[in-house]
Amino acid sequence: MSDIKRTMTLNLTESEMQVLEALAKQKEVTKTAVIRQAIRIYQMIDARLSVGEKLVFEDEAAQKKAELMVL
Amino acid sequence: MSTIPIKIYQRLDKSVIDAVLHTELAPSVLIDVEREWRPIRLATARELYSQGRSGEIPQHFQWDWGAKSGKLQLLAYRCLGIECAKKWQGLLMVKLTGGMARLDPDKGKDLVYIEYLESAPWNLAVMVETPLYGGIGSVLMRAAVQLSYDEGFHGRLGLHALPQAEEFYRNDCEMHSCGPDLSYENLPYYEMTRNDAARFFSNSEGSAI
Repeated sequence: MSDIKRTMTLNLTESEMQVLEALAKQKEVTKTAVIRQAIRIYQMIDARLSVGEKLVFEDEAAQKKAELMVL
Repeated sequence: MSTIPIKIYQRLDKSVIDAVLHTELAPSVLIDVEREWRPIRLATARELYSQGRSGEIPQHFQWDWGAKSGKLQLLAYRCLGIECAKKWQGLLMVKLTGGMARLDPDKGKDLVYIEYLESAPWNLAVMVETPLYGGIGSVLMRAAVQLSYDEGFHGRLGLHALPQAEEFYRNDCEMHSCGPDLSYENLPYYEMTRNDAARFFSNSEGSAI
């Protein structure tokens, strides 16, 4: 892997951009950092699903579990 | 893979010598390291056990960097290492995604999570009579803080510590103990806030990277 950065133009809808900006503000990071994190998470989830694992959200207090279906 | 010249402490003559920090190791390096470190770790564990000193057996003696190397296929993981005298003197694996600060003022914000940190066996007093190099852990922790800054995480770090390593994280790194984590084998969770990171970075200036 290399530290060399590559640049691209990203076309987002107004609402997608609003979410991106809100996340960047909430997490106190740049919009690039949010997108970088999203790519990492997407790759990690995809790798685990591809070997048969499941992605589950759990609410211990409410004793609820929900499996996220990723298409 | 980028490299940064650093200084480490040579215990024999108490001198400071040149070393290199590698900021992105390939999986093959971890496999090679494990091949070299594992026999020493296991021999130490066997020796201490035979002497009835089981409590002194390094709690990381069963770690396997080779087995961990597969994680580096994912962007979320990165491994850093210190090289000196043509040998790897310490390794650090971090996860850049999914770790969230538990402490104020940044609760819920991203941090760099320390997965594993190990100094080479010949640098540890429990493994050899005369350890070669010192300060390896501190240099790697400083590198982790730098990485956290580079990621835009303001120096925040989080980790679960083995009991034998708690003193290092609490005293040397001045991290906050958040107590045992039931969701992580009851290991104590430690966190470095942005304020801790600024202090640690400034205190370790000149002594590490």
